[in-house]
Amino acid sequence: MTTPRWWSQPFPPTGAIASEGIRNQLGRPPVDPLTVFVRETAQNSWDARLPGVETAYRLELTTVAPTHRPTWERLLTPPAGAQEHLGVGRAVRTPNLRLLSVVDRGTKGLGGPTRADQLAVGRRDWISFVLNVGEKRDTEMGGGTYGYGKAVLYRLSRVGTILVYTRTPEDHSGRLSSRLIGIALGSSFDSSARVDTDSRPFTGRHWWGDVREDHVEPVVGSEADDVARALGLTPFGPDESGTTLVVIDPDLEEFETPDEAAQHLAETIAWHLWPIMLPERGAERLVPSVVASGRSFPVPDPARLYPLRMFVNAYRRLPTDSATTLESGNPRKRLGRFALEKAVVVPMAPDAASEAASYAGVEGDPHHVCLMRSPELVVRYYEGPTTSSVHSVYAGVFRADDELDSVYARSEPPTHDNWVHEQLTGHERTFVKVTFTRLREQLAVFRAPVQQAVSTTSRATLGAASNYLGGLVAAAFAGVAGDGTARATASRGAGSGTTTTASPGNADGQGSSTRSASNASGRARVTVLSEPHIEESDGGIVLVARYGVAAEGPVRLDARLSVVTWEGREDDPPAGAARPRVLHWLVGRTRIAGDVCTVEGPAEVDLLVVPVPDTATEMDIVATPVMDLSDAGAA
Amino acid sequence: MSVLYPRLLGDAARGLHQKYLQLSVAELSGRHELRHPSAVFAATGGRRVTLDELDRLRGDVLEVAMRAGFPGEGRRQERVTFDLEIAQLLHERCGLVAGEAAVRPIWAFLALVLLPDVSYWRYPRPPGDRVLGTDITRHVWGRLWWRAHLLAVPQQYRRYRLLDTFGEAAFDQIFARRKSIGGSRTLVRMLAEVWPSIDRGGVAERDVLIDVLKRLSRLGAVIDFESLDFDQLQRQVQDVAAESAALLSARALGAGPRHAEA
Repeated sequence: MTTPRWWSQPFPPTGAIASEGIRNQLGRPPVDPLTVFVRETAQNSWDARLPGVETAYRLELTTVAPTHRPTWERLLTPPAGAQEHLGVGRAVRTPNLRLLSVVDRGTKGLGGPTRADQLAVGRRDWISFVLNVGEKRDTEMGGGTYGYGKAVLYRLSRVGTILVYTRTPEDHSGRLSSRLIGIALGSSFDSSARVDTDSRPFTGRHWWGDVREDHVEPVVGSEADDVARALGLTPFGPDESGTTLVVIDPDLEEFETPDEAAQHLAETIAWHLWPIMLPERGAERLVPSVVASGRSFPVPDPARLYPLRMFVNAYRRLPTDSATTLESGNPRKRLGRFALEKAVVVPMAPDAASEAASYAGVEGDPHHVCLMRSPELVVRYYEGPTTSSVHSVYAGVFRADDELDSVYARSEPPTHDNWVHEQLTGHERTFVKVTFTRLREQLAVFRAPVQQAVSTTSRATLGAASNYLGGLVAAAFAGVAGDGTARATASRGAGSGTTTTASPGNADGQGSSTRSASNASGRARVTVLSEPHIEESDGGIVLVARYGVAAEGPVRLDARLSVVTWEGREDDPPAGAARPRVLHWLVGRTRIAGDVCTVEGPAEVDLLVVPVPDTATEMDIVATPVMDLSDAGAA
Repeated sequence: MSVLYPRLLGDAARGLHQKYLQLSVAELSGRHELRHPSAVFAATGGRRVTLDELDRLRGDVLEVAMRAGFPGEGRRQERVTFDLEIAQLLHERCGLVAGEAAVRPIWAFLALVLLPDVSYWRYPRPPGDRVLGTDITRHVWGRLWWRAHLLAVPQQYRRYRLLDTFGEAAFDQIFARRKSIGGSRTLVRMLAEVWPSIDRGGVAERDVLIDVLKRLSRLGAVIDFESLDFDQLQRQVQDVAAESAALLSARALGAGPRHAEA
């Protein structure tokens, strides 16, 4: 039985890339390493998919179980000479060592030769993933071009170490066979400080496996399965092929608990992989899942999650007539298809956007275009102009034409999250540049100010505007806006301003916001103590206003309710249309039904009104002092 | 740029109207003028209309009128056609902007100075507001310009295709609500777009329209129609119209000759 060991790569006479170079190949530090991690690994899994079966993509956040820990320590502790350059030695001695695994099934695994100096006729997944760096990928409709993005795996691990456990059909027999190897990227170093070996420089790349003379072969076949089982890695079913990548001691940065991190991963998956998750793709789709400490975190359904669902709607429109084809004029060329989804929404609270959405570039309500090319992986969310109203949002999708796929691919940085025309020359440069020009043209309409809206009332003073608009928002939620007109009435009564203070001592009636009865028999002053507002009562929506009755003695209150229309107070409702009605009055704790109620002043009275959905309601009360006590009985 | 038209001052207009009520169409033909001592132009806002243009406008209107039987009595249907043609002619040719077209004395000038014969032929012995422009929505020419303005679609091809959607009486219902519904061209246009497709179930057009306008008026308090896009607005108006038609026709069937409670 082969016992896997660590082997450190010395610099060959011709020189080699040092591990620092590999880790820096992402170009810039990623905004969120977990986002890059999801994008990169999912892309690898997707490129390796087998035809006719759904591709399972599972992220697992686990810790090394106590029963497996001795095995980890025994097998993965580096030899003394490399100890200080390989952090994994320290990691495996700590209890509760955390692991982040990417498990893909329904994929073909990493196949091909296991030595980079062997000429590969068929597949060379192993070579390009495990050994080489910067090799061109030529997967048909593949997501990536160069495998630089895998550097994020090493960056994510605090000790720069991953394990690769794969099962793939053998080249000649086609039988499924397992391979297991460990890869670590430390810093380049030399062994001059040690006396027990020859001094020589090392690149900082290490492999863990079946160590040979000058390279490392993976542990293969049943031995690989045995070692994997001893380490507690997710095993393969009898006919399963695929790959499990294990990031040792992942740096979860700001996420304090694995649960939070898992939640974030699940949402990140939705934001970046939704085009290949959609059910209409049939078996040609990615089925993602996230598991943390044995608990499963469902990946949100992109067709339901706001605002992502708007992008999904736009995407589904791409083949229809409502989408447009963007073209470049000189030279004339189809660039791709563009579709747009618009909506009127209640704006999101300022901090309601999830971190996954923010990292994807959509912070809050969308005004973005999702860019993608033939593999239909999200390249980025391109930010367009914001609309002139917070209620009005849009989401677009641009999918590059298949013919230009390679052009757009070449314009992408290693993380595949942008199209940079500066990287190209000639016509290709023009195509990418013009794409953004066309997108800006398409979105220019949103920059224009909206048409002058027709004013629906001129009674509210300017100071009331904010209150008035607040009522609209309430209407959007509950289907009623009960306060607009009552307030207008209030401001009319008070002469200026919108807040009416109820002061019983205010003798001249200026504080009265409700029409007082002005009959000769006397005046009963009524003030609005609390403006009409929406409340829930027994599962229904009601409008509630509180009035103060200042007069002494019994006062008869008449509720005058009406729907406020564009034309003002509605006198004649449409056929069969409902009208607002009094639910009841509330005097102290006593409920009084009916449109009329008699109270003993001075008193405070609540009026509860059942509004009509999708209308504005005007509430007025008319107060009449009751001279003859026999009238009081009428209520 | 807008074209400015002469504004016939109120007193002069009333005086002419009193006189013209007594005259026949043939006599009025001799009274038409291209200018009037009591007509003034706005100080600014565009260029003044030339006498030439006024003359041509009169010629064109006369031509349409003759086709409708002018100066003879003519049939009712011919008047309807006349109105539609004139609406389009005025809106297309006058170069008026809405701000100028809302000035009542310019319509008085057209009715009493430029086209007295056609005005009094179209409405024999008219009440004052038909010619004086005290109420543009009833003015012989003004209401036509505004009808075309509200229904003209923002495109070159078949710009006035919606013009004949509503009958005169029906359109008056929209004019009656000119501050709200009539103030939104988008909404009026959309209503005209969907109107022919509404199954009115045998209920009179005007009754359905009144009910639809009431419903839209209710919604107008909580929905800003101008901010909806074409599809959204279309759905909104269609739903409202379908609801009105359904309720009204059900009521007509169920209640029979009696009238049901609201």
